[in-house]
Amino acid sequence: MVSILLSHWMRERRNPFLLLLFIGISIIATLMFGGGMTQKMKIDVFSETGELKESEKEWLLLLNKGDTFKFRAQDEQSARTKVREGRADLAVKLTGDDYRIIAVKESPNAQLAEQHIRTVFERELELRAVSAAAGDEKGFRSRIDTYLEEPPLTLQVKGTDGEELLRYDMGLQLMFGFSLFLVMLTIGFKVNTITKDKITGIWSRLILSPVRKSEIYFGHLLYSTMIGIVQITVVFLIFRYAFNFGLGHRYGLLLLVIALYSMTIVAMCILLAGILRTPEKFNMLFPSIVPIMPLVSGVYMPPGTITSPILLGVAEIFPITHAMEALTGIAIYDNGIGELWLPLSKLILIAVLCMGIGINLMERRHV
Amino acid sequence: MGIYFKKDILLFWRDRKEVLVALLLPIALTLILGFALPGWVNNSNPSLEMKVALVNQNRHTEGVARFHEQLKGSLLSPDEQDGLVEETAMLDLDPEAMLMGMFRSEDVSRYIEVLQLDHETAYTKLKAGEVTAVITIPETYTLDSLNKLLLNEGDGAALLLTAEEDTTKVSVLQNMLNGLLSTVNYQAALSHAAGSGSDGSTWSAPRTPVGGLERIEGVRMITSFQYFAFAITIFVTLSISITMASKSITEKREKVFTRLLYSGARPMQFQLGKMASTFCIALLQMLVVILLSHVLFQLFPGRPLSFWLGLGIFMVLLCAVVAAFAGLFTAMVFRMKDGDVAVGISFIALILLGVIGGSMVPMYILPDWLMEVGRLTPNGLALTSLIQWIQGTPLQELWLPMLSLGIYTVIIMAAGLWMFPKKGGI
Repeated sequence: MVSILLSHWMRERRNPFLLLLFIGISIIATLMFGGGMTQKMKIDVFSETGELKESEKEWLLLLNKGDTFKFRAQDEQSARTKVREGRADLAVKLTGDDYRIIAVKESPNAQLAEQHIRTVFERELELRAVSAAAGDEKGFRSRIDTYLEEPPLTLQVKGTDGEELLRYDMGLQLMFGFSLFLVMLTIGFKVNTITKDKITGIWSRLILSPVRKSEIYFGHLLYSTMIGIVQITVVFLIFRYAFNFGLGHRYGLLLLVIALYSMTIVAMCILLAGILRTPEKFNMLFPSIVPIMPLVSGVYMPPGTITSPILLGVAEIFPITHAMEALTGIAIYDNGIGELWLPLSKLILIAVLCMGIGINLMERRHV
Repeated sequence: MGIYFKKDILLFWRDRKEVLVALLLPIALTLILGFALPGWVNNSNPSLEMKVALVNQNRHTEGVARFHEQLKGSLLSPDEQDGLVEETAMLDLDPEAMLMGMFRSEDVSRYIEVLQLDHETAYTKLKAGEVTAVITIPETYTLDSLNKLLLNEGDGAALLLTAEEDTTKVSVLQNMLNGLLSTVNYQAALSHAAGSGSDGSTWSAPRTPVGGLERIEGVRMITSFQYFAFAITIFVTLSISITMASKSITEKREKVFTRLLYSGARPMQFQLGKMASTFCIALLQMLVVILLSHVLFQLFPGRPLSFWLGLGIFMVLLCAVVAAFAGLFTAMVFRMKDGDVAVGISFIALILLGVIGGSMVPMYILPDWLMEVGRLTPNGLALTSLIQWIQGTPLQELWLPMLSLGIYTVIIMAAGLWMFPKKGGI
């Protein structure tokens, strides 16, 4: 087995360009996609008359008081184009003391935003009317503000254990999601060398050598898994120390999840390679199949958004679903191994099944 | 060139199964995503459907009675006391009625189901995942809230929302409850502030904002089905260029190309044949996927022929870019010592294009500057202009993306032809 690992290593040393390119670009891409995420959804605001007037800037301040949306001034042209091109769900037009929502796509975000904007406008207009009647406008506002600092009715949100409910960190989820997604490409590319070896005849020579079949497969598995672990670890370290993402404090468990996930992906790629046989076919279908997995698993959406039983069922067979569950569990909810055994054992189950069927297919068919 | 064209089409025909998968994949995906997020299609929001338990431990009438007793024992004058008693009656502050009123309203009852339970059952159900959250009204809620609202004494009352973890549903519920409570708070603040200044009834009714959606004549809303159908189809079409390039690896390995050169063929024709066949296959695939999705999901009911022709124009332009990419990638395969490196690079390029062009992830989660770059990618251009075309934008306003797609085709094709080995170059 050591000889297989060594042969891989020698290959990499002679021609390191491609692997480094894959890892490098994946890391850069994760940084690009994951680094600029903000929690708040950005909504463009523009005025009917062009420039935002002073009074309209006040509206902007009031709208920004919530913590779900970030409203920002934009010129009308670009705000409208963004909506029309489908790059933003909605934009807001201010017309003096009124507003209009610009949207062309139906989305839950537009509904939520409309609710928020409506409340802000109704309150402020009422406040203006009342304070105008009361005369002393400034004093009136400050009285209201002090009163509302200690409101009579409040809502306490708690977890079942009586502790504060932890805020879910969407930025962290996206970072995890992108790194798990992009590592699939690197691993897939690496595993594809098996089919290439078969075609170039290297595989036949390996079989004739004293190395055992199990060692050959295990060597491939181990090597590709290590590549995956290295890539994800580098990404996580960069995000932890350069971008200050909180990854929890159970680094050992994180590493365990990363290793299991990499192994499962290798197994999945071996299954695909077993089904598709030639490197060309692998290259043909792999890029179409891989991007679907994070999409269906709901990696890009807040947890709980997807409720369709079909979709949830389909997501169960993708390793990324379980790895995401484990990673967010560790980093956000500080889960220990007691809570993690379910997603982890699912990962192992997928790995074993894929590997079993995949190797069987590979052995049965001859190129 | 014709003979090369035929050869490449035959190459595809030999891999019918893979082509079929590439055809079915986008359809299946649209189906899944379209059903998963039906809330985007019609206004009710089933993805937010939830069950909520309401535990009422509050003794409302007792609270009111105790408040009245408290008043009698206070130092207030009898007149003031009567006024406050009257106000309690007017406020009608039964929290249970207030909450149930909200949950029973037409908008909310469509997706929230409320179960009135006792404390134990509610928590067992929460742990079992049968309810999303438990709302608890504490025992002294009425008394505390009356004290604070009318006398400005004490810390006020608090509702308790308990949930297993922070999900979208819980935040929606939280927002809703906060909205309800803050309305009461706000009214109280208003009357409190006004009460110490004027008598409170002199102000004129405030203007309510009109708000709502701006309707633009002739613009149609896009459904999520339409959006996904195109986003996914565009990406799968784009990946045909990789398929074509990978097939060239075999041709390179089996020395097909070298043999062709010996027969006196011109390399240029070989590559043009590849591009032409890619164009046809890509167009065929897009047409089948879009037409099939149309039949299955009623994508564009009742649209005129001119609409379909416009759709066709964009598809042709996109497929031309895909063909040009196939040419470029093929040239890279022949030029580089290791054909796999070439395919690997093309593969990465394609995934990056897919992500920033909005074909694989919802575009709004990307940072701003990437979004700007993304709209300049060929697939991004095709997607955004198709979206605009579906909305009913006239073709004259879309000439810029059309021209850009054309320019992309020319540049990429030129690069591919330039890179392709010349006669005697191999």
